[in-house]
Amino acid sequence: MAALYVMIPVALVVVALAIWLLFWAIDNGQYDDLDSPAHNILFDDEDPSHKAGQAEAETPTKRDEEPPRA
Amino acid sequence: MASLTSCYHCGLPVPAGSRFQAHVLGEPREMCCPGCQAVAEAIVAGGLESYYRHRSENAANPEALPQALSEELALYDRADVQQPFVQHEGELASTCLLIEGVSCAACGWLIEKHLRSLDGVVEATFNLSNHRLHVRWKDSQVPLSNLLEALRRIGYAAHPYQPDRAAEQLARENRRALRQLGVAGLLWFQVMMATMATWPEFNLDLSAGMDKLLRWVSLILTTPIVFYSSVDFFKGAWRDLRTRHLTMDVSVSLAIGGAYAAGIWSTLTGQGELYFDAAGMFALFLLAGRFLERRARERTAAATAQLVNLLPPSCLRLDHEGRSERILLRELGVGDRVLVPPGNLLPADGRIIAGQSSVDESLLTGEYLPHPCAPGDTVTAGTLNVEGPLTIEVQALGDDTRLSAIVRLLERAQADKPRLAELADRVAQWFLLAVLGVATLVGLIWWQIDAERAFWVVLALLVATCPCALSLATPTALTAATGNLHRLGLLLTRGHVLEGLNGIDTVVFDKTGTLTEGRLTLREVHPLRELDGNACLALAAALENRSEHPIARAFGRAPQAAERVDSTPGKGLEGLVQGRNLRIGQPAFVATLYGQPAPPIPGEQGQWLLLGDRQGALAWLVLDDRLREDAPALLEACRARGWRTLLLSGDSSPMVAEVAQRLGIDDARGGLTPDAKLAVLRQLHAQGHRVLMLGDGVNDVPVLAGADISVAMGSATDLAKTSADAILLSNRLDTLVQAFALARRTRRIIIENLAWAGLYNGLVLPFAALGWITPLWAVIGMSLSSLLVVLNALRLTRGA
Repeated sequence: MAALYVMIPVALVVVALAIWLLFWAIDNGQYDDLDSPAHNILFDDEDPSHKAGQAEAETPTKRDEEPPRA
Repeated sequence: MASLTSCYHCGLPVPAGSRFQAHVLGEPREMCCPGCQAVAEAIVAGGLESYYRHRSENAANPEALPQALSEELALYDRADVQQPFVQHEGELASTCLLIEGVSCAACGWLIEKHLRSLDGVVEATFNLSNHRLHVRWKDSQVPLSNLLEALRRIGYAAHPYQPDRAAEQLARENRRALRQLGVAGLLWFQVMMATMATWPEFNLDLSAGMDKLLRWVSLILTTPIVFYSSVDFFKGAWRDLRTRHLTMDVSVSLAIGGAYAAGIWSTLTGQGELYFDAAGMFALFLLAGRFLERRARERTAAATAQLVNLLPPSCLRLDHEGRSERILLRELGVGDRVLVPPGNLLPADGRIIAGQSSVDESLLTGEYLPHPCAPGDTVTAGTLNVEGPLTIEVQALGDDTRLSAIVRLLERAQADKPRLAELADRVAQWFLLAVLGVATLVGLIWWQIDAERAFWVVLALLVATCPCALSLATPTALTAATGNLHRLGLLLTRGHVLEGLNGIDTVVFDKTGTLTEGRLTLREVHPLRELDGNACLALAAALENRSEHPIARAFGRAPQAAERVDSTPGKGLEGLVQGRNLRIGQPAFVATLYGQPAPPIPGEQGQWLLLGDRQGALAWLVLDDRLREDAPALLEACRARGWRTLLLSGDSSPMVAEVAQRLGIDDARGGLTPDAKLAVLRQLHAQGHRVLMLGDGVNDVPVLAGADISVAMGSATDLAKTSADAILLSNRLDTLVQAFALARRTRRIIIENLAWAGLYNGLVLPFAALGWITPLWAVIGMSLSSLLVVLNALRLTRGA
């Protein structure tokens, strides 16, 4: 039971933090457009860094050629 | 003839034998017009082909966007023009643009990506919900007009966006509503944990100190919910009480305030039950309901809160030597001479001093045929110059124009728009009176039996019967129905439409552009010689395809090309098709080609064009404004509901009577000015009728603003759209028929919800009065009944 005397203030702090975070996100415009982010992931394939990563994955490296060891 | 291919870019049908193609995603694709082809090629060349892979809707046809001349765009580079909407920070400039032509999420990606690929653009973020683009760029490297032009090349029109006060306030209110909701939610979870631990059902031998601590924690955490999140309920209640109304806000405030006050008492004395979590849950549910409702409405409103641009942004002023210079409209003065090229809007009221043309006044007056005009005639700002260039001496500007007079009429009409009473508020009134009456009675009885318990029993009764489900009954149903209608193509911009549709008994229609297509279409071809109708049409189309005249669009696209086409404003076109010298246009003009008098015009209705060659007349072509295909169905639906139908048109031609007769409209009046239309509306109101108005033109605007419910066509002028309560985005009248049906269903669901909420409260009342209700049971009952109401409302999201 004594633990509650610590846990309750901790909960209060966490809640205050969450509210501060929420206010920050709202003021930052994070909730202004809820539609386009959902679609944006479709276009991630076009991202230059993603393409570079893909090219890297496709070029066979030395390690890939080694037979897998259990 | 019937080709079923649709344009790969915009989805419009591709005319047979089209020459327009573009390579997209590795295949040649058919395009309907050079505009689509150019846009598609620009998108592919920019490496943005995946737009086509991921889009969910076809793009807007680039030719449907307002014309913008590069000259006009260049005006936006002037520092004094930029001043109101561009901010500078060091070498970076930033601005907000409103984008036209956005059809789906992929458009947003395309716009951002394309702009970011330009040199000098640092940041481009597009907000899909309000169609606003925020750009930051290096002013010295790339002028603003280049950005606007780059957007136009990929098929979007951008306008500088200056947030007006209303839009800013709306945005502020939205953020506040979200904050209130978030605070209520986050705190309620904590309150619930702390409060529930003190309930007898969950109490695990709390020590006295712990019990006290939990009570205090709940009190502290509930305080912001009451004083921050719920403040709007209290304000609303106070306002309604002062005007002697018992509304939903009053009962909500009473429940939240009562639970909170009792909580303070119980915290201070350390006895009795805590109802903090009931107050929190109540606030959260209601705020969530109202937030969703606000979101559904605002999302739709944002998409349409376009500029009210009835006048062109710039015009061509002539100096003493006849040289033209492009200036902004606000730099124009009375007495200036202005050159208006064909296809442009007139910037001011004035008198023609040179030029022959015709002027399309359909938006202002409802006349569907352009008026021929000559030097000496007066013309009105906001009308469209159709044929030849006109030089105009400016007589009235800005607030003095006829157009502004209509806008003022609109404001007056808006002021006396009747307010429809909302069902939920009427129910709330009775409910509240009943609950307060019962509570007093129960309190008095318990006072006699056990004075100690009387207070707690009354409190439990108030909380258990708190009208949570009752308050959610209407907003949830309206939100669900609004979303459904949006998908069908009817955008509700004001809240009372769905409920109000059920109280309508009279429907007023506009003719041009509403019941009819609002543009000239080819009605018939009467061949006069050896060539049949199709062959004549092909020849006519070949000539007209080379013309910019709006009439030319009625002919569709020609399979063959005409050469050396020459246009005589106000008379017609001349040119060579397969070596044959042809003329089309006014009978007299055509007749001079073959040197005989023209045959008499065989009919009355519509615009008659003669086609002829050197040997004589070939055919009559009749152009007319056609009825929309779904107009009869809409009228049928109105009749089925027993509504009286009225046609009020500014058009004075016999077409009004003909349309009314063909559709079976009860009463038709033509040649009405906006004043006269408004007078008819007033008369209807005076007779106690409730009026639905459907219209599109500027001349309908006062009536749209004053009618109980008004619907503007999606193709309507911006002013009409902003003054209407709903917008028919799909431009299909049968969507309205579906809306009528959905309005009925919505009403039924609202009544079901109210009935259920009332029943629940009625059932729980005896138990609460007997003192059997603990906070746990109050909360369970409240959540279940609210859930039931929400689920019932969700049924409205399906079907039509």
